Amino acid sequence: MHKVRLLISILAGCSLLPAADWPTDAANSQRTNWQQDEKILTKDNVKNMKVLWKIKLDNVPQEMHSLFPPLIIEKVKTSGGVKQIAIEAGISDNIYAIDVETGQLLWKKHFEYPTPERRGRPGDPLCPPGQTATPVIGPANASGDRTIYALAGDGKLHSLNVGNGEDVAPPFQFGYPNGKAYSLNLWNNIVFTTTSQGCAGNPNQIWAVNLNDPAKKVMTYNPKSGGLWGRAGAAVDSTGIAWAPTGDGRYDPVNKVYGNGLIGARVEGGDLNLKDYFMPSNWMWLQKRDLDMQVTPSIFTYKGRELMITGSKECRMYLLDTKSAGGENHQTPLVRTPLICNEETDFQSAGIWGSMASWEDSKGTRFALTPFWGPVHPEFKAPVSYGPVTHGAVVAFKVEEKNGKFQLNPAWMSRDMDQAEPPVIANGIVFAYGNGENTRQAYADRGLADFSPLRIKASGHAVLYALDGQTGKELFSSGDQLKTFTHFSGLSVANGRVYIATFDSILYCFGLPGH
Amino acid sequence: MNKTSALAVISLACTAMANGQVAMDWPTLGGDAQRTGWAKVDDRITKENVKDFQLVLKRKFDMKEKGPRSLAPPVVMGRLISYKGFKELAFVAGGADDLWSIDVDLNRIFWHKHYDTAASSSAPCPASITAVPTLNIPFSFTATRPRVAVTGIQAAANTASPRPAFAVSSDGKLHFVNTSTGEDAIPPVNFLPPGAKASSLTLIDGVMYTTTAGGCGGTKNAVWAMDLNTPQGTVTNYAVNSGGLALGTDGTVYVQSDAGAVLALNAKDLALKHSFTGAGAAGSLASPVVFAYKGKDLIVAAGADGRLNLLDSQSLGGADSKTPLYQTPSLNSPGHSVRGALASWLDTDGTRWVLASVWGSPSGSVVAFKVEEPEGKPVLKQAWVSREMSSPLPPVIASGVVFILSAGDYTKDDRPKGGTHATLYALDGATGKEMYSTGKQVTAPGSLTGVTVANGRVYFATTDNTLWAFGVFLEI
Repeated sequence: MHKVRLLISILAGCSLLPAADWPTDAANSQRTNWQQDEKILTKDNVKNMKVLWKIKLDNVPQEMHSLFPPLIIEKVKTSGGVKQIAIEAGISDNIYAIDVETGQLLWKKHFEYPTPERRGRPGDPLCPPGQTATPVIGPANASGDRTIYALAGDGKLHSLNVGNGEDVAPPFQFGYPNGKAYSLNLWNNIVFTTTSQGCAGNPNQIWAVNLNDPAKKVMTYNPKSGGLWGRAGAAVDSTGIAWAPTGDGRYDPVNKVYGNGLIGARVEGGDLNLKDYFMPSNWMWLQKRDLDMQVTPSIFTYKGRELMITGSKECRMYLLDTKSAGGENHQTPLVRTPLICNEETDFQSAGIWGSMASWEDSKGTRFALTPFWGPVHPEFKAPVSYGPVTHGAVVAFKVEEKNGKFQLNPAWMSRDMDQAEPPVIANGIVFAYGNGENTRQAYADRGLADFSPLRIKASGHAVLYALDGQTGKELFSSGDQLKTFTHFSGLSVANGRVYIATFDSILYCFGLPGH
Repeated sequence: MNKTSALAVISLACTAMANGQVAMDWPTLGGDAQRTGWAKVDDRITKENVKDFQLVLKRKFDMKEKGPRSLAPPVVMGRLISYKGFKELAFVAGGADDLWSIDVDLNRIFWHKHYDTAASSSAPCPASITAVPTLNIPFSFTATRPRVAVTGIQAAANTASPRPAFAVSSDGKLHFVNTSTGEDAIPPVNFLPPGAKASSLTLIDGVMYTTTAGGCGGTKNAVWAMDLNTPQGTVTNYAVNSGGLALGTDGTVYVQSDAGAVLALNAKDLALKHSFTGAGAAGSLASPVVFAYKGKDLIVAAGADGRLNLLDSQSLGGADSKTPLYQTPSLNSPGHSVRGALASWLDTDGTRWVLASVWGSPSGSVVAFKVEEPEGKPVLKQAWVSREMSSPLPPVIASGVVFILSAGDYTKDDRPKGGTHATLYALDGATGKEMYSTGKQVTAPGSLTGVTVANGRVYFATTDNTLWAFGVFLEI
């Protein structure tokens, strides 16, 4: 009798443990890519990871896009009981809910709408039609239910119940059809996204809507640039400023043109207003060589100051203060690292792409991580590295302060990865992957010929790695278990499971068997 | 909503264009087929910032041949989207059949090509790429000729290389150069006899033009044309001893013969259309300059007597072939003469300018004229004379600034005097006032091959085979 009570108490206690969710792309509104609640995977056992399950979804890839990083929610009430669910979004306007214990599909939602009048040029990897933004999941309401906010390819924002996929509110127009929105972010009931590349003739801007606003007024700020294509959309700081890189373009503040920079905009009185911006002093060079500022920043606190890191295809990292991103002249970062890669100054297959990552170890050491594509710069040296890097890698810096000055000091560089993508961190382990994608856009005999079928045919397969967060040492590799590449997707980690989706619309779940 | 969006995108694109974000080419010697020397768009250079010019590129080429014509000024491709990224490339010919591609932002060799030819070499007839290479000069919407469809070997070259460059090696073969790699995009074709000494190339409407001089390789001195829109490349020529050529906006070819005549030849077949024979003394090999003026082309050519002849393209010398629209007083004086090519540009206020370089001892200068119509007929009115400078090369113009390379003290047979050095000057195009000088930064005499201006940089070579560029600093 006592034993039964004890067991019930233990089980009840377990259910009260904080849920390790992954409710948004890059883990949180600050886009740190850091899973702070991981307890199951450790540096010692991660080498034992296996594919726990994989599921082939009926999502049809569009151009090179397929599935986005899944969102993970624990303790979801479903008709079959309380479950931990992965919400997987697909480019062809699909939302899938998967029971992560079994890998079985729980429900699917497909957004139906008339084919929009315009779409990107067929064959152009930049402008696929459909749902391009990773959805976001809001906090639990009074009933404990949670809502998925998903932006369909027709520009309508849907609100779905995580437990059953049913609409919890009528969809409303948030963006333009086929406008290529990036990952949604949710902060204080305001949904943010960004758009880029002028897909289907649509503007490139930051978008926001206050879910509390009955009119659902759509607020935008347009920096008049080539596109705000940070993979994880905007990162939001503690004051509600949404920071987004502006992609290619000119800097002409007199005319409110902020290309090749990082802008911060905040919702104020029903409008989205520019609050601050950072512009690299060599923006003209970045524009000339198409080395866009296009990396979603990571925002974190260090020694009481809110800082953020970002980068560009040029392949250097910037450390910025969210209170004054570039100082008085908007061009003075706290730290500007030397070039990490891209000695060739190539616009393709080189440089930093995607988003950043940051975490803090138990000793209070703050790490700032960046992935990069292509060969490491010959003059960049990390104290610890693992062989020649020719295709890409992850580099970890320590954020430090000496004599009142901030520093980004290289800590380690990972092994070579085939186009390293944004890493995520959980329990001191850095999970990273080489996307295996053919990223070539220009050819010696053809010039610029960025064509999806060509690139898909020439692509390989992704490889998932686990690295020691302190040293970068490889702890795990998926080898050739993943059969196809990934394009503009990402990793998710929660409760002992690591998720990665590939172009063939397969979602893989890695973890510890029998755990 | 869609219309608004489209308008926003178009507006954005137009704003970018208006702010000069499109990198410009300098596709041939003199900047265009009309040999104006004028970079019509260069938003990096302004009259305000030219005083802050810096040395932005210096590269010495390793080659045996040295001298005033061993290294050519570059043609510049403002933007190549190559398989290694976006590049601004300068194509430099020189040495013994060598062609280099320089990433000018980084001062790195992008590729180097050496053509193995068996041509014999001598001082007046070097076995080298004597002709400044060319890019395909794009069709201009202001041109008074129909657009020509790309066919034949030009189409084949374009298929194999999206933006080829063109160069003639000393064996007379025309190379269609893949600008990403330096390799021949298609097999080279015979254009000139081996050993011919060609002047700068011009490719327009699918026809490659050049002139040959010096009787090198036993080749007659002539204007040459090759129709690249044919399967094999049909070659024609017109025998005349001339300097370089200039093309009208309708495609007419203009040359000045050493006999003192200015000839107008048909595009492509080079048949003589008409001529001006009223230049007086024979002997000038200066290239004419052509510009559009009130719906027609005007030509300015310098006679051996130092007078500039303003000619109407519709009838070069009038009914008697000897009557120009206007003739300036002679710019020659004892020990002074007009040399090289002329230049022309249009000011933002609509003023058309013509510039002539005068060589002399001890010093020369550049003389600027305005095209005016005091009595309903265009004339050349002298506006300013530059400061003294030694052996000034034909000017190039960008953003209202006239750039002149003073090559240094040269003897009459074009040999630099000991200790002399080149100096680049920037002058206010409206007044001739000096705005910038390189002073003593350049330590060698200037090559007599020309000056290039593109995207904020002014390029020239020196006799020690060094390529220099001064310009607006670009932070990288």
